[in-house]
Amino acid sequence: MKKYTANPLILNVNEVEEFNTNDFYSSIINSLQNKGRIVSYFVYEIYDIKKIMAVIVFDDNGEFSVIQSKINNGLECMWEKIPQLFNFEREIAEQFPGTFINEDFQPLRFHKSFDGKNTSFIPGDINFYKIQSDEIHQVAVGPVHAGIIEPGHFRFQCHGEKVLYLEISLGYQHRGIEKALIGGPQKNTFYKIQAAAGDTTIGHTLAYLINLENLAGIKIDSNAMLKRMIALELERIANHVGDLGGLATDIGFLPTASYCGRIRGDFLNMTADICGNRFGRSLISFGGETVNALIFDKILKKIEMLKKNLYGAIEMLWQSPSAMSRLENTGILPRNIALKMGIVGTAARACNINNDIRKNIPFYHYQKYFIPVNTQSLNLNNDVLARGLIRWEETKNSINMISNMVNEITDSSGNQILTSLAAESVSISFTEGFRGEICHTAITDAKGNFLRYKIVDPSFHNWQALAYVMRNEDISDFPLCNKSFSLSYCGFDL
Amino acid sequence: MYRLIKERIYQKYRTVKFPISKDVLPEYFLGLPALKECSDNNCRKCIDVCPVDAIFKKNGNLYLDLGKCIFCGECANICESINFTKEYDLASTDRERLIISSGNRNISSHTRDSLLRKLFKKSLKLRQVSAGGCNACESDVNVLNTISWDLGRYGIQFVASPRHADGLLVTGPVSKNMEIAVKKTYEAVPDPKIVIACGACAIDGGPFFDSDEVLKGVDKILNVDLYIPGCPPHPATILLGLLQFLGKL
Repeated sequence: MKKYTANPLILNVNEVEEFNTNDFYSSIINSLQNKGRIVSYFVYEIYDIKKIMAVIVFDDNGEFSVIQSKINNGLECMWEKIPQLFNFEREIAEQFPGTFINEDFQPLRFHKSFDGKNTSFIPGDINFYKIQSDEIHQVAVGPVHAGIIEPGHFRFQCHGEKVLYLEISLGYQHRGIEKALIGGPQKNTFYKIQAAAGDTTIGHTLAYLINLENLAGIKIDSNAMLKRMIALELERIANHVGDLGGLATDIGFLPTASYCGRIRGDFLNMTADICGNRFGRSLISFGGETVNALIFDKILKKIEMLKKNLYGAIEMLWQSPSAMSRLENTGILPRNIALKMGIVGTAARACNINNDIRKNIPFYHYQKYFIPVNTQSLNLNNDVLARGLIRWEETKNSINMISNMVNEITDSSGNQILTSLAAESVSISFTEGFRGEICHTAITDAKGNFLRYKIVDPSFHNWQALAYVMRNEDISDFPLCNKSFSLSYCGFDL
Repeated sequence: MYRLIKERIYQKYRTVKFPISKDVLPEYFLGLPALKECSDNNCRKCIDVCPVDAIFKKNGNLYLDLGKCIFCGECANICESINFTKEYDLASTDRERLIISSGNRNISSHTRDSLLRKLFKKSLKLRQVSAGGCNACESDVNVLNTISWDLGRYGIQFVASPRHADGLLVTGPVSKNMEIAVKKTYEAVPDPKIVIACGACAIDGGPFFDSDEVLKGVDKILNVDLYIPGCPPHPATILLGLLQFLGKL
């Protein structure tokens, strides 16, 4: 298999390594044995031929492979041999029914197939896994939850307070983004991507624009790159601080909860200083960033002023033994399970799995500016606390990265106009959002329109980890475990 | 304990006075657009560039639908007739009033229903339902509960059960998969009840206005009493809309 290191990568559709089905599957199995991880896996149609494509990342070497195979008579499901493929295969079976010969999946998102068929479903109506016993009771939660949060359904099999099994059924947020992107880009495509997961606006928009600029053959200058990287790190800080506050809320440690709620707002307002919108809507634009460089100096000053508040609010959480004892040893995700499931982002790093895109397959200037978290020194125990500590370390590192980058910005850069995209090409981009790795794959047709645009949000990998860690935990630990993964519903449902 | 108290003193009292001045909003904040008369009937630049088809021309007049608008500012970048001010008072009780033109910007979130005002002015309990929302609207509604905005001081509270609520605040374009859940939640709220559509998606589908997986707005299935435009609306827009609706301002 060919290995690539370029992020983004551009290939002609004919250059993608193609195998017959057997070799395709054995290459995937080989890769996983060699510490590979499936990042994206999807079906697309080109000139009436259905093909399946896999993007596999090798974190340790900082490389990735792109392989594909023609689908002639239907494929065999592989998830029993390769657990990482489970949700990908469920997804494919729903988007392109008939791809697998032995497909017997529960619906993943409850939508009609890409060719408009298969409409006989009721959202949330699946055969939930059941444990048969007089002593077992079921707890059903959602889709509408008690807090201000997105919808999803959780089905617990409980023995008393203890959860034996949790099944998560999503799809309520499905807005048909991937299907709508076929034939694009249209004038509202950019805005759909911005709202793919609204709290990761920068992460997703960046992955999209990197692909678009890659396909258009446009290079942006160094200043624009730095500005985009700062926006991405600001988004990370705001969300991490919010999540740390959320952890404190869920254990009833109110001082950190209320201070973090406000400090998160202060970071969102810095993003608004750049573009007017607290979530970075329309912050980055095609071909370059015109925003004045002086704004970033002001933001740096604001961060410096906020630092003492931030440190005080969060350090007090770690210094309170009662809070710590609640976070320790709750929701343990064993490292080998995380590897098997292909878990990404903060949840993986809390298990000492090093899969940060900014380090392994860096884009823009991350090679120069990225400051990795020293996971060894943190003594992480794969639990809720570990996921909290990782966020705090990343927050501090992001602040340092921002201050290093701001000093390097010299001037504003101009925008460029999108004319046309390269025809019959594949472009793959990776970014690291606050939850973890985001992978976008664009495939264009002979006119340069999208044949397929595949979005993989980190939540797509990680929801199953939440279901796993709840086993043998008390049901009262669920909110805390849920917050510690901080997953996106709409990012999964798209 | 001593450390916690010391930190508490250091973190100070942080609740903001409301309404806030426009000047404290970010420099590039896009609020209520000001439209000039547009004499060139043939020019379609702003109409063509708008990603959500919020702009149209009729009888030589330029109109902008705040319910559809996602405040991206693309129109203002290419046309001098459109300017976004920093005015954050955007909510309206009437869908039609959200369509503004050069001569008409009479949006108003003051309810004309005196019974509703009497019943809910001192205490309004809301159940929030996210129906395809991207978590931006949800976040900016949630932010009202933080110490900065302190929603509770106005007697407004988000509650866990629809049975404890006086109404729903819906975000998102109402995905088809949430239609049943939204209706059921609404039915579970005791009468009299209100519905608030928060954000461009909940009003008219926002960027998903052309998707057939969503219903394009909560008023397609429920009567809406208050519309709060924005993508997402600024917390100040949401709070001002709520307070004016209740007749508190």
